[in-house]
Amino acid sequence: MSMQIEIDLASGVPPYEQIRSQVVAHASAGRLRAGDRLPTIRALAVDLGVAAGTVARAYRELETSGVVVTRRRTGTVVADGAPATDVGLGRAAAEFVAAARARGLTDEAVVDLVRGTLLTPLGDGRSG
Amino acid sequence: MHLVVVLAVVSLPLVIGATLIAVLARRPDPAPSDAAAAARRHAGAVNVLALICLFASMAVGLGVLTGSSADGRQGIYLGLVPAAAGLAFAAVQGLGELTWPRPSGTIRRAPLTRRTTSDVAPGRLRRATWCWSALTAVTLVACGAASDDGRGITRTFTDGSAGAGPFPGWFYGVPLLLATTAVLLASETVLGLVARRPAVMDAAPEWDLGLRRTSSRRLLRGVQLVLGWTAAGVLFIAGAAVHSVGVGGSANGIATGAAGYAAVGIASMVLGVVAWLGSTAAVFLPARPVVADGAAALSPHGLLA
Repeated sequence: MSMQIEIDLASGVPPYEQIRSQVVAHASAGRLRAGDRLPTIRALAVDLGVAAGTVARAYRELETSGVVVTRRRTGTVVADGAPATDVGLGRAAAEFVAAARARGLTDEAVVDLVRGTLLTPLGDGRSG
Repeated sequence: MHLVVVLAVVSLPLVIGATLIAVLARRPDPAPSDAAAAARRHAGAVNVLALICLFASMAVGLGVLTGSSADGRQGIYLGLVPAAAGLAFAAVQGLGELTWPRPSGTIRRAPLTRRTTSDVAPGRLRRATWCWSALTAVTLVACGAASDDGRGITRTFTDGSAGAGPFPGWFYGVPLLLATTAVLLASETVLGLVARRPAVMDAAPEWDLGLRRTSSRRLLRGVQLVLGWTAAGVLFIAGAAVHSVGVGGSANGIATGAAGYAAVGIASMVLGVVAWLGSTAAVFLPARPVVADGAAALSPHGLLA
């Protein structure tokens, strides 16, 4: 399965933010590893049918947060200190998403569920 | 010279006929989405148009030039016919890439991997284009160095000399070298366009990559054909002239030191025929399937894959 970026132009979230968050998500899930090369700004902009400035802004934000670095010869690559989740937690997240999808939840509903759970105070989540 | 033209005239209908059979016999797999179907239709239509341009340019070029008076420049023009047809072919393919369907709709997807020309170009066909170009260049440079007047070759011996022509010295060699370089550059430019064109929406990245490789293969098949035919023509004509000075021109019937000329001439002609057969056969090389992560082969190919 290849990595993809999917953006929704009708969404309230700006396209650059959708690109940025999905690159971070791929890095967190371990699909993007340190040293992996991202597409050039122009190539990704052409593929998505958005302005090059949109992708450039996403890459700039990623660079500022230390997820990627841009080098003259190799272009934009995933940085050494990119966020990488613990392997066990990553597996647990994958199992949770698979279970939620199997029960018919949409991706938005899954995210809402996680957000709701994160809002729960720490002490309440440890019972049982 | 006439034999080369006869070979070209005989092979052209063969290649066109086989191409038509391949086009009519192929039944493409269903496309994964409307956008993918539209992209494949676009690629197929461009390819058919490019093939028409390629074969029409060759047929018209050969037809006009073989019917014209044989002056000094006719040989140059005949030698340039395949390259000119190849440039027309690559230009149409390039226009097809520039007019590739843009992403539409509110949901946009793109693979998060870097694509290069090497990813989309089939290695064997790309190597064939470079191989035919190198063969043409080496032969033309060698012939240019061997020719005194740029149009013929002369062998001198103790009691006389023997000359033969046409021979691809610099008079023919410079335009042919420039034309070969132009075709090669055009091909690489179009391959770059194929790698950079927008991704097909609602199709897996592997399917999109498969369609890119199909486009590249279609381009390289035509380009290597014209470069191979150019190499074949140069080798055959050079070989015929070298062989001619090797076997003839001896004043007393003893061709001193001519055996080497005759052998080189025959070897060059044989290599020319091999280049002609090889480049024509490469047009019909079966495509290697694109395999994604060891999974089943994906086949986005349509017309003349």
